[in-house]
Amino acid sequence: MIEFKQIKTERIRRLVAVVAILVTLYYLYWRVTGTLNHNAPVLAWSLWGAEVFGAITTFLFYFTVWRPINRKPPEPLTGRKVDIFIPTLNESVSVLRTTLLACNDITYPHRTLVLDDGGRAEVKKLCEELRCVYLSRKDHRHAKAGNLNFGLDNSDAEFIAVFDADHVPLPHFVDRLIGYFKDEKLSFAQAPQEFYNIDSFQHRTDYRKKYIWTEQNLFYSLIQPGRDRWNAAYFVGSSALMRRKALDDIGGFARESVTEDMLTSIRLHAKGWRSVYHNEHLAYGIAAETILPFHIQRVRWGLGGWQVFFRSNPLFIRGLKFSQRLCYLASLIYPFEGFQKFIFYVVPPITLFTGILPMNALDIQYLLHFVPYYAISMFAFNEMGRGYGGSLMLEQFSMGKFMTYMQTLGVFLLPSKARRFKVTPKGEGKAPRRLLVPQYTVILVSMTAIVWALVQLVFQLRNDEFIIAVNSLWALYNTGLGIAIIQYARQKISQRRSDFRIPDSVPVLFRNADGSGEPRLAVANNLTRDGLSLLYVGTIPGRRPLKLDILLPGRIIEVSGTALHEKTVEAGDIVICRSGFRFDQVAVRKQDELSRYLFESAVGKFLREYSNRYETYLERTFQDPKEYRKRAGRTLSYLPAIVPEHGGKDTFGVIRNISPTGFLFASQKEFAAGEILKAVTVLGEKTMTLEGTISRVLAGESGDFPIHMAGVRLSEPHSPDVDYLIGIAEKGDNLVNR
Amino acid sequence: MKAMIFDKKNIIWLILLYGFFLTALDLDFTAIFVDEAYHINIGHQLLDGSPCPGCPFATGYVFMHPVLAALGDSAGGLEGARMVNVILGLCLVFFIYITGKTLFSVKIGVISAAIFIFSGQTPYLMKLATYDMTAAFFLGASMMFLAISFKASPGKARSAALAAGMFLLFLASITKYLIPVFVPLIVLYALYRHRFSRAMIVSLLSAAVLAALFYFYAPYSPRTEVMGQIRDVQSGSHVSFVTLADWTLRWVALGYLLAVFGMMHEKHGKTAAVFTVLSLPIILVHLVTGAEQSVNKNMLYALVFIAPAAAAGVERIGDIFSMRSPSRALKRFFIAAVMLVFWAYGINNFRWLQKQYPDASAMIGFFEKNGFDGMTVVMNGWDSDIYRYSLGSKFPNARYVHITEAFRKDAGGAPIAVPADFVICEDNYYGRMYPCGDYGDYLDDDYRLIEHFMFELSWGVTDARIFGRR
Repeated sequence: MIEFKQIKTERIRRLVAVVAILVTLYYLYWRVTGTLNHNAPVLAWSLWGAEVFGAITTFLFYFTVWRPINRKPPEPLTGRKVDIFIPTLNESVSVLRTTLLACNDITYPHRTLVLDDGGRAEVKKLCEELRCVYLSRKDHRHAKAGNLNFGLDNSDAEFIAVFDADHVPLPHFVDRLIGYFKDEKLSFAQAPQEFYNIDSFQHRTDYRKKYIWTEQNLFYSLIQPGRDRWNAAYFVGSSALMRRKALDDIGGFARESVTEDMLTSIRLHAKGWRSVYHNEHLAYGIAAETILPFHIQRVRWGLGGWQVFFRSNPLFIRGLKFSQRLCYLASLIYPFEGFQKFIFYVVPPITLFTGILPMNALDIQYLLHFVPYYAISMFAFNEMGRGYGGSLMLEQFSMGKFMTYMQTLGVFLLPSKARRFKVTPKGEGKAPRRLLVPQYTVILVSMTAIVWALVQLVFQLRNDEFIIAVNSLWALYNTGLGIAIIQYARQKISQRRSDFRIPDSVPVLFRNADGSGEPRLAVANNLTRDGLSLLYVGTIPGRRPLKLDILLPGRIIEVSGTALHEKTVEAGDIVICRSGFRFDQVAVRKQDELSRYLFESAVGKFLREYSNRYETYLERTFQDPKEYRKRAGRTLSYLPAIVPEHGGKDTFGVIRNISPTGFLFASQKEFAAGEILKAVTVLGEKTMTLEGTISRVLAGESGDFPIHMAGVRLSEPHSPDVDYLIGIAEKGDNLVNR
Repeated sequence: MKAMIFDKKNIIWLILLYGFFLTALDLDFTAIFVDEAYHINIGHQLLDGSPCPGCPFATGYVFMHPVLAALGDSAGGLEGARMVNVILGLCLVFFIYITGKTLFSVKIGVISAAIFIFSGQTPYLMKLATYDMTAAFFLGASMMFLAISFKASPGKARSAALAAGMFLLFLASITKYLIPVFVPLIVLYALYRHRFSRAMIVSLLSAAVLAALFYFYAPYSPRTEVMGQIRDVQSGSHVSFVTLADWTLRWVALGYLLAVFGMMHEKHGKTAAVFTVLSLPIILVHLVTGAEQSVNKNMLYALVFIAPAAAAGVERIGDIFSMRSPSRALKRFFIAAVMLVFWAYGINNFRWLQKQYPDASAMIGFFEKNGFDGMTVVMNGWDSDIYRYSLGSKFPNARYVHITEAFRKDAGGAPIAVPADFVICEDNYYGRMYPCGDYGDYLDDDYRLIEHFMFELSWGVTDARIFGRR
């Protein structure tokens, strides 16, 4: 999360946006008055219309994010009654179990209500086990909205927290949000949805550079803070705390759209209620893993968009402010994007096949207008996107969903009985080829058109060489978008909801299953409820059961497990081994402990290691270098280490990264800056000591699983020992990320 | 074997081979072009030690290339003269590769070379025995040495490269008097890169002294004639700004479009931007003066600079179109696809350029069959050198007289007519300034049409008629 006000370039980027708007207006005026090819009116007007649509969405985007805000949480209200609603239909019990465990850990006094539209006995049993309230209605009308209203009927709480069944809240969720309700007119406080499966279809992750981009990055990191400025932040169906009175005021959750969240927000704002967006990750969910759930989700969103646009259009609803109308309009017109992109994908092939241009000429005059317009537009978009934009990646997703959005208009026009509401499936979702037919078609048609036109050009059957060249490049770009989407749709997903592996590292002591032998220190990586992978400097003995003491912060989980597979790599005179372990018959209580650790501590910890924004050009140019100081090159490391204590109770930890001048040590012990730290790294049979001064300390956010990071500046930098350890760390990192 | 061929460094040899096959195997594609004839004839005069004052008007009063062309002609006739530029052109492709490799990377160097040879102008002007490619050769060589000097460590090697760069820039300038338009920006760039070092100042002053000496003492010095000629060209070939902009950029628009992407290159964007700026003077000269003459040939010089910038753009496009995929194959696919588009664009331009002038082969054939030694041929174009060169060995005593000289009136208005054996009328091309229709009084009664030739050119159809005395 960034503090927008502190960015010195805000004024400059807003000026850039104004210039971009003026240039765009002039360009569109010039296009319509002087360039349209009236011999091809359909093509000409279609392209111009697509350009106008692009301009409108861009202008609305600039308006929305003109002055985004990030709020600091006020002191929580005490003694209020809070109910947590978990609507569910067909999510698995294991998914629900994790969510309910986390709900139970929410520190603010509350009840947890499971609203099961599936009417399943196993869910009822789970609720009894975890002391949650189980509710199931007889009729299932109005889908999720109806289910939530059913929950309202069975609740008398002043505040309602809503989570999707796969959203795992953090213990301080309510504490962070309830303070905002000192404002009596506040209807809801919304937190972002953060997704932990960073190899999903929606994620673009650079593991080396520790950079994550998700398709909804821009929305949660910038658009919602931008809307918050205009009192137009909207409820997104999960991770929100709502005032019961406000919901009652509008007759409960809106039932008239499958995107009940947006329509509910519109009605609340129209009635004069306020909303708040609190930009801090307070719950973790799972993003659409493959293109199938992505497609189903977007069909629903698209359909909901059409429903609201045509039946409850915020432009015409009484009570909304002009700024709110514009913000909602920006969020409502997205299904039209499908048609816009379709035009952008078909124009180049049409021109390449027929030679017919949508404009009079593709000449120097055109380029002199288009190139500056496009350049300033892209620059302004990236700047106003505050580093969250990723225009190229947004284009990829536009390619991925253009047909989906076009299709939703057809679905919308169908009689409502012919439509079926589909929940976004979580977990394994194989990508059916039919979903990729539009992208394959774009690629095939574009490439055929390019070949066709180039052959004609080479044999001098046509002399519009520049037109062919430019349209070929455009068609190639579209091909690239299509290939990217197909690649991501077909990639192997390693993270599954049922087997979520967090790339966290915790120290583990292991020995023979019968307890014999000396315990050896290793690092567990990719921890799940059912297993872990163990990184050890040395050889792990064969495929026989081992006893593992997982040294979680604040507690030790004792399990036994058997190695299923093993990889080794040589690093000079030593061998590094990585083994995948499955636990043998672990008690559910222990699994729950692991699950709680994973979601309440580890997920946040590993996600914080990733950045979800880049520095924009203006920031790189004008920002005070001190504020954007580059860190020294560090090597990710999974080295176990012990800080010996007087009195015998040693502290176990992990060296998370190391450089020639320092290292980062993670453990459950709290150190103070300025303290001398002596860490003994354990390399199988031998040890090596690193000593230095703690220069900074970072505390984890989980109170139940306290983890502390200490940045240590080495007393003896660039020593041969450090170089040796860096070499081992590099090999270990390669082994983990192989 | 496969690995060797597809090694980035070896691809340059494939590119050179392609350039060689595209040009050297087809050097007799037309009869001699009028500018070639001027150059070769003047070169022979210089080699014979009998320079003809005023004759080099049509060649821009230069001597460097005419001498080389005449030497080539002596060795191998017209094809020999043309081969000189083929060799220089291939060397230039290699220089551009080295420039790109030095300032950017091996890959960008290879793509630079490919872009340069794929551009229509390059093979076209390699096949013509005119000074355009020779000047580009020196300009490209100059840039290569300057690029080497930018990257070399301080010392003798850097000083030598810098001195060579400046000297070659001087040679380029005296090969074609249009090249000096590039000099100020190149010098400024070199001064910036070398931080006004002593070696830089010494090299610059040496080149300036050479230029001054040349200005005052060289044959066909640019002191007076050239300036007058520039004014003539400017007044004689003026077209509207928009038309000229279209004509100018028709040849290099795609290169510039790619160069825009080059400027977005994460690592080499600034250098690509500098090279784009370095390419602009020639375009500005045409746009500011409004002179359209030789605009398609002069874009060759812009290409010398644009090729590396565009190559950086191609690499950037490879990144963008492959959506920064870790797959190298995908990036290569898009780079290859963009290069294929560029090649098709260039080959189309190349073929257009090859057919922009009428091929006089048929008319030369006519005279070889029907002409005789001592014949007098009157023509309304300024292309007599074509016939003088092509028929000189067979009809050494033939006379070629311009129509304005042959059919004129004396001071009292009485018609004077040189008795001509043949009259060539090319009203739409070479002779469009003096259409034969204006000389009907002389032609109608005494001459009859013998042959009518039609020429299908890139931009339309033109014709030439040969009349014989009744």
